[in-house]
Amino acid sequence: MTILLALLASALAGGFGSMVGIGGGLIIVPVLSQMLGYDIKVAIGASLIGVIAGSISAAPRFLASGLADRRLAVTLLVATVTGGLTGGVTASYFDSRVLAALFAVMLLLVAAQMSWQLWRPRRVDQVGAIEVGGPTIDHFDSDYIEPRTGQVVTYGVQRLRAGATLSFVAGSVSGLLGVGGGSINVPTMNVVMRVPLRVATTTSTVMLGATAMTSAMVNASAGTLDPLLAAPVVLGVLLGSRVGARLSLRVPQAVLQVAFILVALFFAAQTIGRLL
Amino acid sequence: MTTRIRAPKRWTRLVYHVGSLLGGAALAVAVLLEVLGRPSNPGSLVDPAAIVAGIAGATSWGWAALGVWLVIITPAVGLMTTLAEFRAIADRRATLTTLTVLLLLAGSLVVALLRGHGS
Repeated sequence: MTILLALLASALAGGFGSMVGIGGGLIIVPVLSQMLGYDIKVAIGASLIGVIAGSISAAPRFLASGLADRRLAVTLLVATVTGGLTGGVTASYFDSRVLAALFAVMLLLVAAQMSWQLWRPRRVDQVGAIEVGGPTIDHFDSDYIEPRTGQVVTYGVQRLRAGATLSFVAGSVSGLLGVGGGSINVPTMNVVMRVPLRVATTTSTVMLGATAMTSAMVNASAGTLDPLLAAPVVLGVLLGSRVGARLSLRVPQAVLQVAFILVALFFAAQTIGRLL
Repeated sequence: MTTRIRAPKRWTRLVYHVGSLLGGAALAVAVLLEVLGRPSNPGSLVDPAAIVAGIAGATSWGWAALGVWLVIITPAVGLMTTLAEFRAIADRRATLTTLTVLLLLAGSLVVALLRGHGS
């Protein structure tokens, strides 16, 4: 019965996550730990496998379309993989209550970031990055075909050092809390490194698999990765994200973002309430 | 701005496809066995003998463990094919960077196994 509940909950979380564009981890971990009663460390272990599965199932499509930038991905992976290992090892030293508190903070930060995106004046173009002058790094000069218009968009990469530092933070958060880290990686690439949003989101998705892999291995050896929980989580995420991607075209993005903010605030409040 | 030559990506895409299909299939078998009420007999995920015995004995844990490892190793195999594809276009910098990531992943595996044996 629990396996079916985990499958259903992960399908809903994966579907909702893909509709909002944040992946399922931020919802799966609180659902497994607060609603189904799993220890948060076990919930994080299962969520990491869901994150990897989501990444490897989306990667072939993003690579084929030419949207994901592999040169940029492998460069930032040096930082995120190191961060993932650091986060995974650190998590095993933390008490479950500390991890739950950190997760609540993460939910509040993502809800705040999403609220800011909703209500601030739109400065970032949907196709290209913010047009600001500055030296780009020749090695990363690239282009892609914008799917909506068929137009070739040429772009460069700026401020690699700052981007790599923030990617290390994204990897650490992913390893520590079992989330993808896309909520840090995407703004890092788009706003800090001036990479177009479409390239940033697809490149981040391709990177998530290798990022989460390091902390998943740490969880496997520490005994906090339960394959019998990971199985329904992976199947649920894969099923839910496919349905969610189709449904997202019919529901206004703003409505989904408001719904996510409310869900994140609910789980954060519930976690804080239990800790106090 | 001059766009650099793109590396081929056929093999990397194939690896991701096969990895997600095989991993998903093994995990689906595990869920099915669990729903059918087969014994789970959990063991250690870092004990290959326990996993092989679990698969052979058609236990839900054994198949779930197989699926979990297939999902975990797929990004690493994908990076190996990416390395070969960067080498094919003689992109030395990208090849070395990919090699660095693979070495970091190998180091992570060693750290994980050492911690598993230590605990």
